[in-house]
This record gives sequence, C-alpha cells and structure tokens, in this order.
Amino acid sequence: MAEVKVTEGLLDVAELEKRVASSSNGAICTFIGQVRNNARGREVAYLEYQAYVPMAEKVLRQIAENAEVRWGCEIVIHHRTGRLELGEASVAVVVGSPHRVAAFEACRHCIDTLKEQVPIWKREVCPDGSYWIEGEEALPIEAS
Amino acid sequence: MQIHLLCFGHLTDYFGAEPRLMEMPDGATVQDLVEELERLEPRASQLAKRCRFALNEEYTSLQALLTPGCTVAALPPMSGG
Repeated sequence: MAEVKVTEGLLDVAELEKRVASSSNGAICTFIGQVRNNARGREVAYLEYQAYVPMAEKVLRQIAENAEVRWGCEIVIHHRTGRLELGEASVAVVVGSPHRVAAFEACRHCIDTLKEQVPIWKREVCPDGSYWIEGEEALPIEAS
Repeated sequence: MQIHLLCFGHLTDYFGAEPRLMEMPDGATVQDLVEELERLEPRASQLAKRCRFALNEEYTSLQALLTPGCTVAALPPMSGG
C-alpha cells in the first residue's frame, strides 16, 4: 500500500526507509531531491515550494500505486512545501522490492512522473530577485 | 453561475493565491474561463495558454463544462522534485 504525503515538515529519510524494509524485500532504492546552491548559472539563496496539496497527494498516490502494481514493490513518496534551505531534502522516493532492478526502475519512474504531473511549483530566491520555475525554465517574478 | 478559481505558481503574481469567486455564463467551458483570465490580465495571456486545468481536483480539458459551485485550478507547468 503506497504511502504519500505533502508536508511542511523536514523529511526523515531513514524513517521512511524503515517503512519498506520488510524482510521479504532484498532491495531498497531511495531518491532524494536536495536544494542546490545554484541553477542556470545563478546563485540560489533558498527555495519556496508551493503545492495544490489535495490534488498533489491524489496524483502522487496514483503514480505510486500504479508503480507498485507494475513493478511489484512498495513505495513511499514525501514532498515538502514552504521555505527550504540549501542542502535540505525537498522530496524522497523510497522503493522496497524483492530485487534491485525493479526498485531502480520504479524509483526512476516515480520521480520523473512526479516532475511532470504533480501540481507542485518551485520559486528560486536568488540575490538578484526570485524566479518561478516552469519545467526547466525560470521566469522572473512580476514587479508587485 | 459562480465558480471557484484557484491559481498557482507564476499565476499568483497576477491573480493572487487566494481562491477567487468568478461569475461565468451558464454553459461556459474551461476555455471560456481562460479567455476571461486573459481579458482580466492581458500580461498573463501567454502563461494562461501554457496552463493545465483541474476541475474538482482532477485534470480536465479545455472543452469541459463548468458547473455551478465547481472548483477550477489553473496549473502552470510544474516544477516539483
């Protein structure tokens, strides 16, 4: 049974890994997205994440449950919102599976699909201003 | 009819992050709502054209009919992860 959450709280990745660490699983694969200090040649001070929380959790659950069936694995995905400092984890995708190939593939599929389909947005706050990120593009904030 | 509009990401620079009540004619579609947003804020026109839309928390098409009291979310290209 997939577990998904969109939360303002810090991610405790070790705790999430315990949830898929049943002894029938021979592989646990974890992807962590981390706040980087630069993007597109710009220095980044911190990030702000915004989510349409009820829909984001619904779409995350669909992604995780579909992947659980397709790869025969157990999946936990947590994503943060609000202000995140450099080096903090923004997202964790944790997959437990009997074997490693399924774990790697399911993990990669979940993070790639999340980026395309889950209604979450990132704003990069830089020394020269802040920018909403749309896909791979950065758009300056309108003066307001 | 009245509908609830939610804006996210870059759109909040134009329309704010608070839910808005919008008056739409009976029989209006998501596309009609896009055109209303473009009329209200021409600077957001290009962005509105790049958005996906959700009706009551499910992805929907531009042809979908709005219903009284429904919630429409305007979703710019996403950047989670």
